[in-house]
Amino acid sequence: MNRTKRNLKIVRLMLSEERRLNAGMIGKVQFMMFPVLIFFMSFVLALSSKQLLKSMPMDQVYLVLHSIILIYGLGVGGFALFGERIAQKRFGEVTMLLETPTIHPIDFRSMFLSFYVKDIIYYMLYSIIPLTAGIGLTIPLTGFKLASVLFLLLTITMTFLLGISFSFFLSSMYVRWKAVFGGIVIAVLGAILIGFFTKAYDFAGYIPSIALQRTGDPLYLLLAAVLIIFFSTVAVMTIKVRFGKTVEKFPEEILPTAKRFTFAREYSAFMAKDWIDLIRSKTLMPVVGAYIGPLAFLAVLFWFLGSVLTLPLHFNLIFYAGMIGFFGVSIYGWLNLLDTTLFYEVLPVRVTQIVKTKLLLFTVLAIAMSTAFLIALGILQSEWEMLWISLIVAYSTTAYTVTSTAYLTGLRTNSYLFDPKTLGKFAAVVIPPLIVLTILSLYYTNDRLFSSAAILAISGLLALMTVAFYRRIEKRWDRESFMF
Amino acid sequence: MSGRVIETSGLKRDFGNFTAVDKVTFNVERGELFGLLGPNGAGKTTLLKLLTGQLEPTSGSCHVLGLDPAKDSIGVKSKIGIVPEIESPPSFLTGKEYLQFVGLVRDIKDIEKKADHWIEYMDMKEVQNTPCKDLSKGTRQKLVVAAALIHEPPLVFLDEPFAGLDPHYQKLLKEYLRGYLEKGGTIFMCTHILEIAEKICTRIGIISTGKIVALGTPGELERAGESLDSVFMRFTENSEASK
Repeated sequence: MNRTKRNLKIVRLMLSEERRLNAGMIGKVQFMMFPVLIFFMSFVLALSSKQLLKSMPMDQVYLVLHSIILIYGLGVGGFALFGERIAQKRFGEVTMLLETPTIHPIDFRSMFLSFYVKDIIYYMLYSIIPLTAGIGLTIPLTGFKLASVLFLLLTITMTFLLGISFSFFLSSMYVRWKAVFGGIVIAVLGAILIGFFTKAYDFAGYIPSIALQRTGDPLYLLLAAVLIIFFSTVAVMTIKVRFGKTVEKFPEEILPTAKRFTFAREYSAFMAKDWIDLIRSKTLMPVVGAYIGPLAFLAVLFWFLGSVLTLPLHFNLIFYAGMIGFFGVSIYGWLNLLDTTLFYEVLPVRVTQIVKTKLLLFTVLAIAMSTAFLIALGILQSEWEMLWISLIVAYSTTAYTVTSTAYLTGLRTNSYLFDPKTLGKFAAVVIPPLIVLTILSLYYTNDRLFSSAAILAISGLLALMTVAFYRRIEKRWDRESFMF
Repeated sequence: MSGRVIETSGLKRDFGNFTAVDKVTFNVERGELFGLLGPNGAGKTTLLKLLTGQLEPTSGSCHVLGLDPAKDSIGVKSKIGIVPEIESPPSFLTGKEYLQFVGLVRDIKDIEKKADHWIEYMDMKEVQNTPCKDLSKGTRQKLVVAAALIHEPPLVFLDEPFAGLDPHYQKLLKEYLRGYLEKGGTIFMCTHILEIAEKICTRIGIISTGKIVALGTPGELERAGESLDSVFMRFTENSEASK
């Protein structure tokens, strides 16, 4: 097999590895949600382009889009900086194909080049193509030209590649020659700031892919391609990755942490362990992001539809409170992915104790985050008077959704939610109350007294159902094993 | 209370059409070091899991320290110590924290002192603050051995306890187990290492295709001039060949 053929085969294998790793980590459903969300968002934005262009010139729309894509590319391209981490493991003891050069006769640069190509294909499929497809699908409704959409695909692809290759180049410089890295960063930032404050030139115009979008001149396409190849080649040639573990040391924390969680009584030790896992695995931020991220996205989207596109849409605080309950499931899923539970099998510990520990820790996290989110949104939307009822809705729906999820899926949330039977039960349990609460939240301003009474009654019912599900967790999972 | 700490009668465990443990009947007396030997896939680990409440039997019964593991697995696990076949301590706790965590779960008094003692005994001071996921296989094995013994149980189940340990720690563990037996403890051990079994086990059971095919002291099993290796081959080669 020649070198190119071999490398292409490795790229294919790495793509399968990436897909399986991500699907295994966050669950296949959540894994597919991201491109679907991007597709949906660009579809909605493209549909509303007529209104959008009333308040924003076309050039500015392109500039915003390319800037987002450029930042995205820069964000995912720091390979050299995280090389050791991605080469060894992601989320636990996972040995990646990238580690092959440690035991097989293949040079690391070839493997890393394959890894780089794989990541480019992966991000293209995962975000750039769904984004363009969303716009493309509106062609019959908006009258966009197919050629324009394809040209946009070309220019944003170049922007993405410029971002990812420049970031890769910068990270390689950082690892090898910090002074060179510092010099490049200062020069680029300086050029951006001078251009911004003096208005002497438009820095964005110097980015070849943006210039290509504006002028259609193929010279910029050539320039962009040359830069991408230059950055990538230098980065691959200079990348330095040390194999072997970077070992961290930690002070003793389990006993003082367990003392801090004494309110959890017999669950305090387990809760302390999960809390330490959350911090040391650096999962706390992704957990917060998985909870607040979709809510913030909804808030921004509805603000955009209502304020910028002036569509007659307004979702009040009670609506978001209901949604909070729904997104709580992702935190519970994350908590179940933190660490292996296999070692519990040889200790006098029941599966139900650990399920209840996850629920307790979830409660601590969810109360803090949902309260902060609702207060912040209440201020932004000037809906202070709804805060009390919104908090009741948030707490009751969260408790109900997560306790029913714990009852249905135990410690294997992501696996079970992919089982159509369990997913069906989950949908039957969770969706109807959410729909009723959403309708009541929309009706709230029309008849506050009736809506409040109905919302409180539903919240009370959900609280009772929560207690019922919680009690049944024992029966459902008590004899279950920790072994998968 | 009788001297028997483990009693089994017709113990059977099926996985679908496959019978992993097939109507096994034997007893273990207090103070014994019972070695369970057998080829790969013979049913050693499944039998250990049945005895420790990690699996439920398809039929038959067993009692460990007077308790039925199938009905009261938590009760059994509270009284015993287990070294599992695969050492998988929690990833993000350090070695010392894991021992302290076991102490919290088992409600052990003076847990800090005991954790310190085991860290020192197993020569893990240098890595005591390293998270378990970054420890070497051998160190993780030492840790799970310490975690199984830290509450000084009257009966321990060891599944390949010497795997991954260098000769120095194998010797250390053997010495500890001898002392433990002298103090009246009982050990049920699955192992592949016949040399160790021959030296330290007081009684041996050989399991093949889920059935106990030989049971007795090393002296009873060995014919004149025969090593345990030969005994093992004699009792298991037919079943291996039939595979």
